[in-house]
Amino acid sequence: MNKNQDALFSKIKEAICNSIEYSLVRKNAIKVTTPYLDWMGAPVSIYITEEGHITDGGQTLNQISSLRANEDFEFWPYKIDYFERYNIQQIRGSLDLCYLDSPEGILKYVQGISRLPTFFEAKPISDTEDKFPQTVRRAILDTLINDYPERPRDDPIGWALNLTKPRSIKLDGITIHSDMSPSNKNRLMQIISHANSSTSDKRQHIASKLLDPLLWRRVNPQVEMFAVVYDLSKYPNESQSLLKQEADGIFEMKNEPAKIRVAEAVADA
Amino acid sequence: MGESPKVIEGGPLELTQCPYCSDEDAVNLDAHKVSSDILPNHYADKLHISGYYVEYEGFKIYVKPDGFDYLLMAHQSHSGPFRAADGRKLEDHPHFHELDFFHRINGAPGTRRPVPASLWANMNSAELLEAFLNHYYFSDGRLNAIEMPLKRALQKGLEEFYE
Repeated sequence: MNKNQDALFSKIKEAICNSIEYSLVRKNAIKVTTPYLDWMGAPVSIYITEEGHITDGGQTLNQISSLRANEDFEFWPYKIDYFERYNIQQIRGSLDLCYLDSPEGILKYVQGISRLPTFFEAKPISDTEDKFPQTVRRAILDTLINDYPERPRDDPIGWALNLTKPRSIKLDGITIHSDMSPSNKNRLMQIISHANSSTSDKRQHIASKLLDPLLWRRVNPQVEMFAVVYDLSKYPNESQSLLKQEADGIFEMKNEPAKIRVAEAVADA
Repeated sequence: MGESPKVIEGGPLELTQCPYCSDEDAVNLDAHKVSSDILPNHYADKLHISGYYVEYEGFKIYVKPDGFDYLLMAHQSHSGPFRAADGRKLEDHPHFHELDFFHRINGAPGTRRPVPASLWANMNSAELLEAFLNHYYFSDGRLNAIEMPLKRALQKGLEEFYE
């Protein structure tokens, strides 16, 4: 290294060291602001709790959740490898430092936290989308994680996400769809949306939702179908009658207890 | 920032209780697309508003094109003293946070922290979001005030799952 290189190297080192700051934040924790930039171009911060844990304070998973990419994250095939490589452990909703043994391990952790959200594409709600299916999935996910008495101790979030994701069932030459994945493999959950569409669209939507269980029943008489709707009275009379005739249960989400009933229908075998 | 109003697509914004958090006031804001006639397509097609909760700093809102730096943010708290855009020196206080292309630091855009009268200490996340939308003229078609989500009650006897 020559003189010029040495001087510049020292400058870079000094700049990096000087850019690390700490400040007091809520719950008697301290916030450590690092020179790394997150996916928004803002400096990455980590927190040291009063108990001496290093954590992200839940910001990484909450960001992924707000971008509506938490399913992509939960089923990301590289998740375990990534956590190991970057010295991260997930404690409920926080990503905490795993091993405190070496300074390199802490740097790896900060690098891992700052990069993680960039792996998942944001899925903002736009005008063309009917939000009701997503609203139902989120409400049932929340109920399964927090209120369903038989939820597992290990990884309740992964368990609940598995139950609330859509499922495709391949029959001879056709594929039928369920809007959630109940643990009872003979059960279909159909979310009835389009509440703000025209009468003919509503009629067509309900007919299409009833077609899948009818087709499946041809080869499997054990099939059950449950419908989740916000308010059945908003649909045409003939569609209401058809749905009542064909569905084994209808849950109206305008009623608060419906959430736990849907959660039971999804989780009970 | 000059575009007015900035239209939020996909219906009115709603705060939802964050599925991963234990704090009762923890909320998330699902990403909604923001339409823009001013920004070039590569920004405008992926511009969104969303928000998330940080256990030690509270609720944060941001507006950004996917894959690029933020344009606007709002923070429920600020760790340590800071200088507001109007020159006041404040301690921990809700504030907005915007890129300032006119005051560059070493060539890169600086930041401004506007603190209008609609921001006050200890305001909740719904109030912060409401103030943010009003200050920057975002329109989501809403007629009523934004509300905090209903607080979740944990079933008794199962608290040990969440220790």
